[in-house]
Amino acid sequence: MNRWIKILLPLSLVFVSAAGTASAAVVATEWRMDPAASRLTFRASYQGEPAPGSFKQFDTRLRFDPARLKESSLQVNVKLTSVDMGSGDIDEAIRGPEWFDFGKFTEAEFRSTDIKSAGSDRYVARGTFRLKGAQQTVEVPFTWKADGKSATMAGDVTLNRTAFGIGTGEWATADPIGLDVKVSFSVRLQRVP
Amino acid sequence: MLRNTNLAWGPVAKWFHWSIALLIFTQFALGWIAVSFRLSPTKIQLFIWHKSIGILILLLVVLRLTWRFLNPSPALPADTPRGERVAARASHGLLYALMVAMPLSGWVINSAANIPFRVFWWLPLPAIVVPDKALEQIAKQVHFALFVAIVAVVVLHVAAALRHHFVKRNDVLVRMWPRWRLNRESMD
Repeated sequence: MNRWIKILLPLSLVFVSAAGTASAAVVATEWRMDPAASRLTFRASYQGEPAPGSFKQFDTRLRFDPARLKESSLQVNVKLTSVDMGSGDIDEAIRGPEWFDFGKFTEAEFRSTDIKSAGSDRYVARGTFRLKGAQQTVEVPFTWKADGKSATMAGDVTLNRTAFGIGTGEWATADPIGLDVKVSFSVRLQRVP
Repeated sequence: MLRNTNLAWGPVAKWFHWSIALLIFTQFALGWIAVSFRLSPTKIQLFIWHKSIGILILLLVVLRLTWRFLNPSPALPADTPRGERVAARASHGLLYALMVAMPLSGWVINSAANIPFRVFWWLPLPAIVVPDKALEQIAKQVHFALFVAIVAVVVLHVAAALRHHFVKRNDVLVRMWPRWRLNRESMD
């Protein structure tokens, strides 16, 4: 009996300390978005002319450490109804079922599965993007600039709107409203103490 | 001879008159169909045609007015009463004003609505006012009021031309007719 305790006790201590190190490693630095200093914009096209817009409300939940990419993760939630394309007519039109369908869908979400390095200060977050009931694997390249307690991540990704049913039926052609939509983001983050 | 004389309109003036007339009637139809069409790519294409032709008319009217000021205008028949001369002058002035104001008010609508637009899918048209929902609504009402006014003046214009031809039996209508030339009339 004593012998077993003598063996198990140090063993369990090893396990506990190992688990402790592991749990410390699982958590990469947590960052909180500063909404006032963060932008999520996009550029659609109308008759070949740029048709810019932005989402006024979105949130970024990030655990990120360039030295611990395996433990890093990115989640972005976008309040679709906060869209502003600077035109009352266009903002009204895109509410409908053929476009964003606000009656059924009010939020989009990106959730990373992995984040890889792509050179100095450059990373690629690969993950699942859900929008209007569709989901696609999307690679989001971004730059990372940290200065002490705050950091900025910025980048852009071009999405084909028809992959998410944004503009269905007769709108699912490039004329007059282009298929590619360039989504750009500049997110200001504060390190969570 | 491209220029006008005191007796006849030259081919340039006639070309301006008839091409703009044709475009204006096209605009009546296009504008009406585009507004009433359900929201669809077709509606947008109809509007692109309507806006493009409107800008074309604006350009043509500016050129036409320039040409008009550089040329004499054929005189009205000598027996035209003073009141009719005043009415003719006023209605033509009004027509020109409307032909300029109509496209301009459309341009204001498009700018205030902040809709990107390329004239004939080619030339990006800059905005002349900043995006403004209230102004857009006012400009739409102005555009419609101008439409009613231009229809009224065009009806008057056509009625007056027909009266010259069939009642007063003078050459005011035929001298604007595309193929009519002064020498041909004198040969008759």
